[in-house]
Amino acid sequence: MKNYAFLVFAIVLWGGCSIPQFEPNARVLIKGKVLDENNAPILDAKVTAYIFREDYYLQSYFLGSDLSAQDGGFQITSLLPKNEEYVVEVKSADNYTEYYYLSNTFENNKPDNYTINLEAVQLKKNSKVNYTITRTSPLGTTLHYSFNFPNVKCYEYFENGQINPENSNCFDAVYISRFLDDNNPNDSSFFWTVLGSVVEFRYVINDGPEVVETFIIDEENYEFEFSY
Amino acid sequence: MNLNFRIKLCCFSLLFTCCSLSFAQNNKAKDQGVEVSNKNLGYFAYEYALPITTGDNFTGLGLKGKFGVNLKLHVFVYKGFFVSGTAGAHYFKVKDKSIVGNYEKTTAIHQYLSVGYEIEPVTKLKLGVSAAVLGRSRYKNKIDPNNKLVFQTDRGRIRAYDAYIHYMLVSQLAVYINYTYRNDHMNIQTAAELNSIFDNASFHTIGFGFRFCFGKKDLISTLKNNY
Repeated sequence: MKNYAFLVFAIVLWGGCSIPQFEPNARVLIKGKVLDENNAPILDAKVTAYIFREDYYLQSYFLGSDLSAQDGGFQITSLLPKNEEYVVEVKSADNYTEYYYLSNTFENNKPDNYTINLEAVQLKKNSKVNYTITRTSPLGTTLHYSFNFPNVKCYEYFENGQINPENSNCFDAVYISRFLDDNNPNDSSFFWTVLGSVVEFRYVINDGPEVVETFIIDEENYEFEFSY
Repeated sequence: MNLNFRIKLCCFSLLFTCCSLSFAQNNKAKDQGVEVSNKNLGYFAYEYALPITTGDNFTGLGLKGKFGVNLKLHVFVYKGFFVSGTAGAHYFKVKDKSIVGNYEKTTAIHQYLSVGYEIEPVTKLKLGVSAAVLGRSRYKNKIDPNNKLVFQTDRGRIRAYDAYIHYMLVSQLAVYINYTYRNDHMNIQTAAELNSIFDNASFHTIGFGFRFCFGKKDLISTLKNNY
């Protein structure tokens, strides 16, 4: 019976800890504008705000969302989470990069004037890079290749209204690496990157020297073919 | 002329009418040699209410009334003048989360003290008006319908104006209809752009209830007789 009571207590305690809490008598206004690289407004970009917990099985707790208007403007009225990290995510269905505004309300840190102003969120055009690697050389030839390209996500972490560069990363490099041999001589897949960015392709055939090639992604659907 | 002012004007007009009727009734009663005083010391009332949200604020734009309950204790201080205490709750569901924030339901709990005046223009029929002088409200916003522990609260100062008609079924029991206009002043802190939305919470309620009377005379008359 004692063990059972302890178990119930532990569950209640765990449950209590995991429940998000909100500041009484408070509402936050999350606002901004979604623009493209030419400062033209992006219509219908989805802006979503949620509590983010890395160590929490639910991962997120929805706070509110809005779609950007004709002028790119958006506005979300939200409750203010207490002692939590939160994210404002900006995504457009129309092949644009993604933007994440991150901050927290630790130690009673509240947004100035109860406003989270993202101001102008600039999204860049994405490109889908389809690559095909085909072996034309004799059996036994191996290929070790990699792509190095900018990510399509931009994370900016703000603390007390100032960006924290240590916790922020914007279009950081992504690295994909594969090894092809007789079991898997060919490969075909795709990745997303920023339109106009430079992609680095490195490869080593058998135990030969490493070759580095670069190419600029200048189309929304970029085809890359390589044979060895 | 805003709604709040119009409601106040209506209440004062009604109060003025009640007073005029009361003085007329008093004079007539004096002429006829009949003493006019309230027949009860007070009453308890239980009321079922229908809240109807209104106004360009978070209640009017973002909430929809479901139902409410009120308990009232009403004491006649002198003749038709009374002091009344009300406690209860109104239940709302969220109709537009983009206005209020991401939650599903609101329970507005209130306690307030009001003063007013009641007349009996026709036998068995009583009319009264009152205004809250002191009171607090607490709006409990339920975020997750499956988890009662996930909630947020807003608090406010009550501004309530009541008008009612009671019909006495027997000497100690009446049925009544009550109208209340609530325009609570909220303590919600928010961005300047949203202040006008969250400054006030306003709604009308139509209540139906029973009144259980006690005592024979008003408070001052009772005290005079006893001491």
